[in-house]
Amino acid sequence: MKLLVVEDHEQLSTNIRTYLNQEGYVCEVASNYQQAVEKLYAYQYDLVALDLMLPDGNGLDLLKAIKENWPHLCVLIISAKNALDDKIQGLNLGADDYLPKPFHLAELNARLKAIFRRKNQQGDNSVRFEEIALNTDNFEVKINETLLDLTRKEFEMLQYLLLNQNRVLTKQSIAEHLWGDYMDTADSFDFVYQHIKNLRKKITQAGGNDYIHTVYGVGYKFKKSA
Amino acid sequence: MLISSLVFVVGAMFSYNAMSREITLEERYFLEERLQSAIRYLERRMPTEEIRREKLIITPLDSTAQETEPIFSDTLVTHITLQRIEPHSKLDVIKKINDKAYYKITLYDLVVEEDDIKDAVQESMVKTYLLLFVVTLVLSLIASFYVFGPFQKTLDIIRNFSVKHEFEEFFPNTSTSEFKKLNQFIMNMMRGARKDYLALKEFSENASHEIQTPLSIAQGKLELLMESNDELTEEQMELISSALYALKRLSKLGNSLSLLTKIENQEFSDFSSVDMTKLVSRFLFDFKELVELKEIKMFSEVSPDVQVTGNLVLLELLVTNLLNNAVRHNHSGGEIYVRLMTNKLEVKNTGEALKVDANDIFNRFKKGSDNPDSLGLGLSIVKRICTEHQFDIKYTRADEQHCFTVSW
Repeated sequence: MKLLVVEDHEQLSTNIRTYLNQEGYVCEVASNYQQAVEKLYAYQYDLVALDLMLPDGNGLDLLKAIKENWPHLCVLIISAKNALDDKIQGLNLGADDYLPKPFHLAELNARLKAIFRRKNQQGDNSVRFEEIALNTDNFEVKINETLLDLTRKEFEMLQYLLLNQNRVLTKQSIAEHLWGDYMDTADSFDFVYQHIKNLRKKITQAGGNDYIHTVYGVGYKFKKSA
Repeated sequence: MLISSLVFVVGAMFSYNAMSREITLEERYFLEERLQSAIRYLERRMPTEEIRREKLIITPLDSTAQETEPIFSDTLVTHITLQRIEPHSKLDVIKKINDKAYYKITLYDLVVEEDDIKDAVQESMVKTYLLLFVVTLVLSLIASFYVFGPFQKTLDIIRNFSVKHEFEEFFPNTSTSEFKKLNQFIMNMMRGARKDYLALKEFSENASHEIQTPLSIAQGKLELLMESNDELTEEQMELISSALYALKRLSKLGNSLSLLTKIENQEFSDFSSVDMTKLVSRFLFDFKELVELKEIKMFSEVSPDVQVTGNLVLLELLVTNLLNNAVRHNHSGGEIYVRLMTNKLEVKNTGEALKVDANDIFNRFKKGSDNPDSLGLGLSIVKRICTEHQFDIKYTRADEQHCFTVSW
């Protein structure tokens, strides 16, 4: 998958590129409006991660230009402005998602994958990992054809883990993914722990392997081998 | 008014004096003229009998009499036509006529009474005064309308001025140079205030935005560092985790402050009718898991179909902040009561007594407890939202419980 990151802060785009390269993305960076337009004309991309505040123009204008010229290109807005109207305006202009800064790279990864799946793999709304099959349409999880009875939060947590395989996921990042911003960190940590515990139990009871590894002091990692 | 009436009284006294003096003089001239005509009459006739006419008595005297100068005096005489005693002025003189005979000539004349003069002066003065008063009033009204018209306009502009809004860059033209100067000063002041306000607003907006990008970078770096976890010890991972936690707090702080600024700048002015019943029920559901996790019992009583006019985003924030507060400052096994009525929302929770004064509870960074997760901004935001919606918020503590009541 080929991704264009339009972001004027080099350090941030380097972070994104480093992280996403490991996911197998081809990641290119444009640091301003002009460069972004040039690259869009020169190459083919699947997705654009777009910062709204650019040194030589408004990201929303670039979004309009993208939707006019490359209507099938997916756009994820990254913005420091946690402003509601920016978000609504962006989504109305055809952006696929909106991610406020600062974000967890795992969250970015999950969102990109979700967008990509929605757009490019129509019909196939399942994520598979070994014996686990997760269907994003009807929120069903099956372990070797055994249906798991998961709560909505447990489902979302498993999906987040699956989308970020082999990654260290901090409890904070998981909590934010599930709860958004408005919960206390200490509470959410307990909360994450409880859900992980339940999830593990449900998966192993259904005959699945426990792929959730605890990274002490930090969070969890979803991977195949122990 | 008082001064003018005083001036009028003094003026009246002066004019009274002047008039009575003039009148006395005139009377004397008049009497002297009549004396001359009486003398001429005597010179022709040389009467021997006493003559008594109205206001005139001529008595022939014998030759022993002496000539005298005319003597003026006041006396009371029965007035013939009026048939009553009236004060008269009298002229007594003894004259030698044609060098032969002496006559005593007494002339009377009706004196114009002081009372009469006073009355006349008073009346004329009062009339003049009233006339002057009315004219002054009318003139000053006209003057204030025309001359102070621009001044009133200036006052209106100042009254309507708010740094938060664009203002009319126009002051009415006035020919009065003092007003021109005043307008110029005020205009400069208003421009300055507005400029400073915008600069401050821009700064606080930018500061909270700009802070997010470096935070994003730092967070990303730490997350990438964590990815190389094979080489990292548990302690090192914990250090990274703590750093990430601190970054998150900083980011939340920036967002909360920028939210407060935005509410203060009235950027959430999109008001509509909001179904509070639905909104509160939704958040009660969302908080259920959290409340159970903390082993808190939650009781709620939600009246159906409660409608409130307000901004949806702000009202959501109001409810979540209050609920969050009730969970945060609670203890395991505690209780929360949420009651939504047609005119108010009540959130009650068990919890330790405040560590700050109850009056400070809505102030920024005043924390009622030492909960490390609390930024000390939640209730400021609640208060700000209430102010923006003209809701009334009250904090009370009874039976070991905190109680917040928002009424609309």
